Amino acid sequence: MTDARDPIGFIPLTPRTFHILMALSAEARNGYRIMGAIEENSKGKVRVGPGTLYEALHRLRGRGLIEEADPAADEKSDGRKQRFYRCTTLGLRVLRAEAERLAADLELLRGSELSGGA
Amino acid sequence: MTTSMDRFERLMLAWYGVALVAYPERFRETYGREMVDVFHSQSLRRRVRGRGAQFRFWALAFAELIPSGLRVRLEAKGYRSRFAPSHEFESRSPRREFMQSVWQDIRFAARTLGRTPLVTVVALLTLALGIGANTAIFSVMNGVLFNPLSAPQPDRLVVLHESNEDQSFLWMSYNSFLEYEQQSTTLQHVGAMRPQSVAVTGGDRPPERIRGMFVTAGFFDALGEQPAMGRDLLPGEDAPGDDRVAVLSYAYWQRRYGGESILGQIIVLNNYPHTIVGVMPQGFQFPYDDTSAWISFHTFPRPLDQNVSMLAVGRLEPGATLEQAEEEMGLIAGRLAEAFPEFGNDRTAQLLPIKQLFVGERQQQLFVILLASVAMVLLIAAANVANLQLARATGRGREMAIRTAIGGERWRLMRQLLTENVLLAAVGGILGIAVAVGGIRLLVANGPGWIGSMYDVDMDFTVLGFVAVVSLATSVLFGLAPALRASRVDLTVSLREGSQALSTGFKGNRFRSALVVSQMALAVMLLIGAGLLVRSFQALQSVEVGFERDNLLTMQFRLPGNKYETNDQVVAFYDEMSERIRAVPGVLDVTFAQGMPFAGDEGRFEFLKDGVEPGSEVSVPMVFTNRVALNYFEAMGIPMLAGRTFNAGDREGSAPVAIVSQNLVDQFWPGEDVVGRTFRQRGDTAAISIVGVVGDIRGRGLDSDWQAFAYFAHTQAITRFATIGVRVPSDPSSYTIAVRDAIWAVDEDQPVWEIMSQNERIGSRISSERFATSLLLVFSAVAMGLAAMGIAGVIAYMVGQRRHEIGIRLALGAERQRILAMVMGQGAMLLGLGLILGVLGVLGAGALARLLAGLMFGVASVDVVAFTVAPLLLAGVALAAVYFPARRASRVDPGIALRYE
Repeated sequence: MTDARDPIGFIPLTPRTFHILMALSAEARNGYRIMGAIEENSKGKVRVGPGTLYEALHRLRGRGLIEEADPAADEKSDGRKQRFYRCTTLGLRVLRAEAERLAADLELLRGSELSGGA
Repeated sequence: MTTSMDRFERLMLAWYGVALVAYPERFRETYGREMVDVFHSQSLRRRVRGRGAQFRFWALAFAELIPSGLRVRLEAKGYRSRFAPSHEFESRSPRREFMQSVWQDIRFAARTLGRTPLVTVVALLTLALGIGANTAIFSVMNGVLFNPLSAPQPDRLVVLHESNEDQSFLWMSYNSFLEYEQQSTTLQHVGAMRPQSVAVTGGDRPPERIRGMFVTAGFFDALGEQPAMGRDLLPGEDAPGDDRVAVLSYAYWQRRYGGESILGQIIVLNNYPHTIVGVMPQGFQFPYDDTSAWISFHTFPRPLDQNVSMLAVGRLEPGATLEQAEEEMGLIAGRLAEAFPEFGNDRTAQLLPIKQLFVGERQQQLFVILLASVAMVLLIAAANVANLQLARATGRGREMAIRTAIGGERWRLMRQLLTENVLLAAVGGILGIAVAVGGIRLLVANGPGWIGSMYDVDMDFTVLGFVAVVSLATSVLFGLAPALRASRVDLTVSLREGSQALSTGFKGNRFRSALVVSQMALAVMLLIGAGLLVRSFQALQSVEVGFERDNLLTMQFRLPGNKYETNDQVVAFYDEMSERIRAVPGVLDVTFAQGMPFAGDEGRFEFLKDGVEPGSEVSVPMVFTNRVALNYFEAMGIPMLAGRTFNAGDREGSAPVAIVSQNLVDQFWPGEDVVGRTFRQRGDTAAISIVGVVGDIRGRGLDSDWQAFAYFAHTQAITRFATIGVRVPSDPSSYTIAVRDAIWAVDEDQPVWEIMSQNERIGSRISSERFATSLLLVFSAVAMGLAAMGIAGVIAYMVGQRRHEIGIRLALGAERQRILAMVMGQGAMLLGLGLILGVLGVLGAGALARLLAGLMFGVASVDVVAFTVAPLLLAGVALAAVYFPARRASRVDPGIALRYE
């Protein structure tokens, strides 16, 4: 199932959204794991609590960037009925578009005189 | 993750679960469980890093709930937010952060207010009415009392008049004026003035009468206003024998000449040609807004030096005070009295700030009463809004508790509540300004003539400032009390018992009840005041005037002396005019007089009855005099009580005769037959015989006493000025054109004016009363409505609180009628207390009674009808309002009520 919507319409992403999509791009995760992944990937720079996390998940689901996923087999033993989420194709395209945008911006910055000083 | 939680973690977890109410229900249903789980597991995970890490996590988790919940709620309502709004990672300056939080407060406040639309609309209307009415009255009062003239520095302008021991306000002679003008050092400029109606004739335009003003050259200098075109009067153009010149008003120039260039042209005023030398700027008006021409003084019909007929207007020298100037004028007057004893040696000069010339004590009283009542309406409105806000704040006790629990700072909660109230007051204030603008228009359009005619009534900055203060003060008043209460919530109680915790406090209800009681008291005071004025107005309207006032068309004219020179010419004009008017189809009768009742043109003279030797009199009484048509009494419906009426034999040269009113007989010859007796006018030797006695009339004011009148036949005592009265079968106004044409058929150059029915003439005399009465009626109706809303709201609120209890009572077998009676009884108690306090308040407020007494006529200050009807009316309306929540209480479903909470 492909989504025809143009990913450009969704970027730029806020760091929080970017990190959530990042966390859900490789594998399906539940809320607890998403938080862990964000903490790890951003080295604690991006702070997300349960409230903002589920707010973002709710919105991303509503816009079709992520979807509910079956948990991997080894996760079921947990006994908790937590939902797992993963990126949709649209979500992945949005993430890629955002990554390209950031890369282009970085490229621009490298070419400028600012780069040496930092 | 089976690590067991400690007590603190358990509490946090429980609170977090509760705090999720920040999100909409559907969101909670979907994610609530997971969120709690994540919260839980993350808390435990952080435990290994120490309590500090845990606390930081909790702070983050709770703090993000409100903004996050708000965003979700907004989106759920279709509010388009940015894709993923997040402020956390943007660069933060303290100022920006503050502005963002203020904006957030405002949006949140708007949403909160919008969640209870009915309450908010009622509050806004209440505020708009309270603030708007206050501003309108204040604006009019500001325009009239404090800022009456367009002239620069109007408070430096004074009116100079004379007085003696008997009369406090006398006009001065031209000679006196010249002395004051030449000798004064404390007055910068002095000009004489005399308002006068002026006939404009000639040219190819119809004759008309305009309001004019005779002035001397110093007049415009004193006012500090110059013509926009041409010039004003020069010294040498204002004295007898000089060229006659006129300065026109802008409006009249536009109306009569269509704005053509007219400087140097001739205009015929009072049958004398005048050269037009100037046109005043647009908007200049003095003393009336329809004053159309300022004219050289010597055009005045009688020679100036024989006349006591003018006032002076002066501008105080910089630094001079009113007292200094008055002292100096007194000295000049003293010298004058020595030099001209014939004008009376007790004459002295007095100065009056110019605004007092236009706004009498009565008008000031009227405004104080209106302002007082409007302030009462504002208080009632304020109590209503306070009550609404209190109820709202209590209902939100749970929200406040949660916000406090999750670390919402107390001042932040206060700020949120204050934002709501300031927002409410701001919107209410804006609506109030709209109401005020409309109100001012209404006041000026429907008020007595003196409001709109003389003054620039406009919203000005003072008034705007006043509104701002009123609306800010009320908002703080309303907002702070509930905010303080709400933010002092006992957390554990609130969380355990939810929204009920705050409301069951007896104190809260007592305060609300006190508000309702004071509303009722204020409303009943206003109603009683309005009732008294209505009664007084009724009494005024039904006052016996002594003549037939219905179906009488009246109009005025003045025959120019240089056209109708002889008495025969004047009498011939009246005869022919009467004949022609009588020939108009439908006209029953026509008569005329120098002074028609309520036109205010009667004369007065000093009355000496027969037997009093000239020179021996101590003090001489004044009586009214009127020169009338021969058929005057018959046509006016004034009964002949003795003797005969005038007839054609009473003419110039025959023995002077008079007909007197019963009141005059009672004053000077009580109980005697006066036909055949004589009297004299002071200063005249001729004895006048009384040939008849007629019934009394009230001709000056409905609240005045019967007047002592001596009537003369117009054939014997000529009058060039007259008001005619045309008796018609119905609707006097429909005869206006025909009657006026009949007059013009006699003399096509003769202007007529003040065309109105006699009832309109009388009505214009009581326009202040009518105005005050109808306004006070409106105010008290608004007050009653507000008070009814107030009591209904509070009772509804109390019913809501006691739902549970009522449910139990019903479940235990209480009859629904008893519940209804119980609730109604609660309302009746508040109502009764308020009524008693209000009635006592009116009785006790001596100041209020004195104020009202100034405007009251023929009604006892403790009028039984007003004091009965007003409380009954309020009681009826209030109980009807209470009935709705009471009925709802009696229909509580015990099952639902008991399940609830």
